[in-house]
Amino acid sequence: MMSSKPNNSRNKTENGADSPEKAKGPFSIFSSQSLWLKLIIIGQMALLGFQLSPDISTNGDDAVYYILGKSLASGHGYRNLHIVNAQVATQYPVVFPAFLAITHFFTDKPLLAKILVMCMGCLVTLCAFYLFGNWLGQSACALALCLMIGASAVLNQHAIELLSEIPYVLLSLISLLLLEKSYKAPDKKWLFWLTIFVSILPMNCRSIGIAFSAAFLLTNLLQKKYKYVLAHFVVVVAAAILFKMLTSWDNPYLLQLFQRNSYDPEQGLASFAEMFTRITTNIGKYSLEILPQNSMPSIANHNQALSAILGLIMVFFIAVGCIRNFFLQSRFLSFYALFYCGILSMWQVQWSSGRFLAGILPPLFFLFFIGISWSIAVVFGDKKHAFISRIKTLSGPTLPAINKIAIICIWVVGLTFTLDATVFQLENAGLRKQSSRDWENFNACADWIRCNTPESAIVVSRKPELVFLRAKRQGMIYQFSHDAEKVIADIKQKKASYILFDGFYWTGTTGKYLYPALVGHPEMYRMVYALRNPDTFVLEIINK
Amino acid sequence: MKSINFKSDGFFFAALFIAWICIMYAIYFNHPYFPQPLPSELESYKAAAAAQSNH
Repeated sequence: MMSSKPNNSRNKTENGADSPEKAKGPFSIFSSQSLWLKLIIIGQMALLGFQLSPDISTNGDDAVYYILGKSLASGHGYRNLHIVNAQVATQYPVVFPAFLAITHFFTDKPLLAKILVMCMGCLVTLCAFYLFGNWLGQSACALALCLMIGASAVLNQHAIELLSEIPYVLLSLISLLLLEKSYKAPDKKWLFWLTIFVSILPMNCRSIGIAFSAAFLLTNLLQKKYKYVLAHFVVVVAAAILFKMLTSWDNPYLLQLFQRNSYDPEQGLASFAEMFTRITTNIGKYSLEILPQNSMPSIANHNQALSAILGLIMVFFIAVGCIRNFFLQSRFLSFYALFYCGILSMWQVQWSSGRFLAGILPPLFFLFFIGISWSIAVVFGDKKHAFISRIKTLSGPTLPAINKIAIICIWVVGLTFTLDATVFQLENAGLRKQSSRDWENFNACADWIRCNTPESAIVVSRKPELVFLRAKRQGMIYQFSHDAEKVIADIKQKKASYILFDGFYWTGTTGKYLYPALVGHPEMYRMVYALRNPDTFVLEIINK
Repeated sequence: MKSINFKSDGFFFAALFIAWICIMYAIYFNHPYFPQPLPSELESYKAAAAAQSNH
């Protein structure tokens, strides 16, 4: 790879006209990286537009983010408006709802919020080009990397939903861009403080952003940039304390990290041996399944063996890239990837998915490319020197000039990943917009509640946030307890007036906790609305 | 390969994003977020449940 940085000014003559290079032939336009970057962004916009569904997805988290944005915009503070008594929110960091709050000033529909996140998805690709292009020092490779990021199925999937992954990736990339600029202009105090301010946002956008802050502190410490270490530490701690003082000192994520199963909290906390098993299981699952399935979804989803092989190859090159990158200007990403993946491996296995990988995917792709190009440089390097000697020679603080074999390999990899991910998205665009029968019935029950119950009705359901947006009624989730009397007492204590009994295929909690409680108390309710396949009911509570 | 010009490309991307936002907003502006509920199957459900209990 080249050590020089890309020149950010177009080649011009002294009078400002474009250089004669432009007039070489009809195909010279394709030598412009600007043109290719524009085409990548336009292509990503087309892919996103093709897949967009204006409805809030069934995920649940995006509905909560949207409601928290509404709470901020309407002056209610940071509250779960969908829950009875609108308790202060403690689980979700504030940055993404603050972005969404802006859209609530203009419209009460989620469309604008969805478009905002889609724009962020495209900005991720743009920022990745400038940041990684600067670090790679080779615009051709940076374009291949951008192509992979812009076409990534998992990143684009999260860019059409109201989830915090894409804003998180964008903030982390902007933060690193500003950090690079601030290093180069140490006299600009405004830039320094802007860098510090933006650098604390990833942690306040997603809790796993603690990995970003830890990498920020460690990298600056190693580079003896003590001013950045001190300022980031003070501001991040002050922001955390302020947020906790304004909301609550509870930390649900920390509890969930060590719970055996958050859907069955009575199982208690995991032991040391269980945590160890969880970590090893997650490493295997992310390496052999989730990483390949979210990088080359068409191929990896159809062939498990191929998925595992692809995963192993990717993990090998990412690991090589990560180690090599420790000695480069971009070493931040190596620490960051290590910390992030470390936390990811401790998360409950039932939640392990591409969603959590999305936050680190662009840096992983970057390390993947570093790993490929460096391995090729070592294998096909100067044959006069021994293999070990070549490794030592090529392990300096700058990357060696990228050779043609590496460029071809990187483009073959980039185009293969892009083609696969694009085909997958085009094939599955229709599926995303369709609801399964269980969700159709759940939504119809919410519509019935909106049309047939008083506005003050309180609804018990598995997804009170979605009921709030669809039925416009506050609600509560039933307790996850095997003690039926406890479940009933909680419903009575919160003065619920309706129960939406779902037939969800994806979870069994309603059958596990709510059904036994209702069977034991048939005098408590009457059925007022029912749908079949699967059985889904609205029950009115008559004996409060 | 010719590199990026922040000024002219910045204008291009700003215009592109604005145009894209307008197109997306126009396409989905009239999306029905709050449809009427499906007809209830309460009576047929009760009848089926009664028939099952008779057996």
